[in-house]
Amino acid sequence: MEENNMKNFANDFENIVAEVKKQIVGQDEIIQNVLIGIIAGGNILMEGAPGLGKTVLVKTFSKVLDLPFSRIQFTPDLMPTDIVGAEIVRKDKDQLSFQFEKGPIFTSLLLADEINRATPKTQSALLEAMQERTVTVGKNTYILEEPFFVLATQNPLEMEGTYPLPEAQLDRFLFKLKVVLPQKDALFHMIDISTGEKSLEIKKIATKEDLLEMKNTAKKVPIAANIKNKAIDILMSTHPDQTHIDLVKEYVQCGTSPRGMISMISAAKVKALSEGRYHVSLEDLYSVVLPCLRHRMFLNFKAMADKVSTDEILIEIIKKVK
Amino acid sequence: MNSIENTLKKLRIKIWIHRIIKSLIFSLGVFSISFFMFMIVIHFYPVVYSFQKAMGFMSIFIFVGLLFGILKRPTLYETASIGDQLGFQERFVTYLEYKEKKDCIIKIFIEEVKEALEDFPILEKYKIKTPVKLILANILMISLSIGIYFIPSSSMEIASEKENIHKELKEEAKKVEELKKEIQKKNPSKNMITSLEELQKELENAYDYESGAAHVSSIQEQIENENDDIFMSEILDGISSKQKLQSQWSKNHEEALENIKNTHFSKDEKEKMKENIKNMMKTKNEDKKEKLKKINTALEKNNTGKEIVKALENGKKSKEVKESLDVKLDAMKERLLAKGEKGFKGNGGEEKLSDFAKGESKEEQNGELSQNSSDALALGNMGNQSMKSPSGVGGDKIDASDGEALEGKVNRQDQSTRIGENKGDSSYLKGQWNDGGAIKDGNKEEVSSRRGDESSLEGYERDFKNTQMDYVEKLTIPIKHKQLVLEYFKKLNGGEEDGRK
Repeated sequence: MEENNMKNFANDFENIVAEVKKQIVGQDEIIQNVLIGIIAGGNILMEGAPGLGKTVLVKTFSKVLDLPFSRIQFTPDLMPTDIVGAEIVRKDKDQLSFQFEKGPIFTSLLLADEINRATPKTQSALLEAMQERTVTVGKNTYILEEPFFVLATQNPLEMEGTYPLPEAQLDRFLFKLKVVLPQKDALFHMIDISTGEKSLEIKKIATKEDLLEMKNTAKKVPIAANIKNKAIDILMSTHPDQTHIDLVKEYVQCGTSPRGMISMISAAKVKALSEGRYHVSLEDLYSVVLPCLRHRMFLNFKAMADKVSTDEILIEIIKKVK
Repeated sequence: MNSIENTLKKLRIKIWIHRIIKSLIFSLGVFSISFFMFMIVIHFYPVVYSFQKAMGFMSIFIFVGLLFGILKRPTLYETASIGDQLGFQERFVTYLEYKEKKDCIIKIFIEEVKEALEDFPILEKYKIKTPVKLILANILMISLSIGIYFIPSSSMEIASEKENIHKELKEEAKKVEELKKEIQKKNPSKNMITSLEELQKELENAYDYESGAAHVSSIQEQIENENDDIFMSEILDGISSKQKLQSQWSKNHEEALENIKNTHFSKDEKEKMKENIKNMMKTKNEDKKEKLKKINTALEKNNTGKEIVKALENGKKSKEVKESLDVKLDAMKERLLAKGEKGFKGNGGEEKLSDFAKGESKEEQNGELSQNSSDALALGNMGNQSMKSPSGVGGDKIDASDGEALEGKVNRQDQSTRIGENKGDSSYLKGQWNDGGAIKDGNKEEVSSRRGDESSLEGYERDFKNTQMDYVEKLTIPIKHKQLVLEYFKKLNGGEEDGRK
């Protein structure tokens, strides 16, 4: 049984991706990475201009994976209790009592839409849930049901009415995916899908249990020592005081945390399985460096002035480490 | 063994062979550069057996390269890494790390690796590339170096001359070996054999005749020092009959031995002899210690005469061997000295280039000096002789003679001169010396000694008259000329050396 599940991993993965692709066109890489992120058990931050299909993508995944789904639209006046829930007073047979009313966080797939429109205080309400998979209200701690993951969308920081996410919050996202405008032929196809007479029917491909099984399989994937060493090298190379790479020394203020390295390994394992292999290769590792580390590295003012992005620095690091 | 490990082992051998080849080519590259530089150097500095040395270096370089390649045997993990780099996507290294693990996913993984191996001909993908350009560059460099080797130069000529000398000296060393075998039959002393072996080694390593002759001379001296007469004298020191016995010993060994055999030494004399032996034991070599022990035992057994005679008879035998050896070594020395002068004196003015090359040796320096030194001319030293010889280096070949320059050239004098008569000048002295040779008539102008500064010569002569042979012994005379000079002054002194005939 277990063996079959393992052998079918690539097929299942491909089926889920194919189903999501029916709805989301021209974002193949994003779809794949979202699924890798979900199976690796991480939270995903998607950044892109409004209208690129971020929210639709998350909703489609919830349908395909048949997962309980909640959506929170982050606004500047959103409060933490709007996310986690609150204790309310209830009257039962002339007796008043406090009862905890669960917030939208108590789900499996949480869509935190436009997360950077809320204040950092509200954003931080997600911290515990994202990392510990628990919610503490008052003296009570509530365990979130597995699987749980947050798929957040954010508008580029340059936009009006946005608050940058705190570093601690960013570090809790496994991936940061950049959603860009699809190619012309994809846009052409998008018109038919969105404005056509027939509405698309999205099928349920996997269950919650299947997803957990895939998650467990991914954890068992063997990884050679030299690949682990490469992951460490990449991590160290992001720190200006630990590397000889000029670009890093010049533009990086703060390198990535070990959580970034763990993210790379977890994602690389799923990536390997998704390609029908049962071991991690160096290419798997290199392919997840950008989504895993781009939001964990903090650049200095010089980088902003010179318009140097974290992606450019990470590409340079990969070149040097290879 | 499964197919993965089998492939890994085959790949390992392939990588190993590749490494050996690379290592060999690298060492050949290092050699070709060194060879090129060496070939240039030998045109400026004489290096004997340069080509043979270069070939020796090549063997060493190739051996080191081979050894290095052999030692760089890839480990299984290295092999796996290299295999993975060929496009096998870290399957090999992961396999090596996890093959022992019993897990479902590992089982599936191994199956997947085996399947991948079938589609991925890894052994064919790993190609042993021969760096043809590098090999060609090396061959070119070596060819160029060989070409440079054949360009003639003075340094090369000197080196070649030295090689010839060395070969001849090696022949002499072989003669020493024969000599050793010959005297071994005569029961020689250990020291003699050791000295001959030492001489053999020295000759094998010598590159000029003069040092060869010097080695022969020093060995001769070493053997000479084993003097049984002195040995005898030391034992008998303080004994009343010493003078008599010793005198007899030096005149007639047989008679002396008979006398010693019949001599009865007193108790005191025996004690004195024992004491002498004890003192001698401290300084003498093993060979002599052995003899001394025998005599000491004889003294203790009160069988003195016979045993001393026996010991001395052995000494006498050894002396005979020593004398015959001395004669042979003397001949060898003379032969070497004569060979050493070949390039210097010249043969009929048709010297080969190799003889000219000798010009950089000490001999020619002497000759060059004598060109400007009137003193040297007057003294008629060896350098002068060669310079004045028309058949010598740079000579005009007219009136050439194969003999010594002075012999046959010095005009016969009306009156012979001897030291003490205070009549003739220096040139007459040479006339005297040559009285036994084939003296030919000639003009006085041909006598080179005439050109010297006579007044200074008279000074030398005066010094010589005052101090006699001590004067000569104070001078530093090159070994090759020592015998000749001593002979000359001995004759000049009326055949006497320090009052002795």
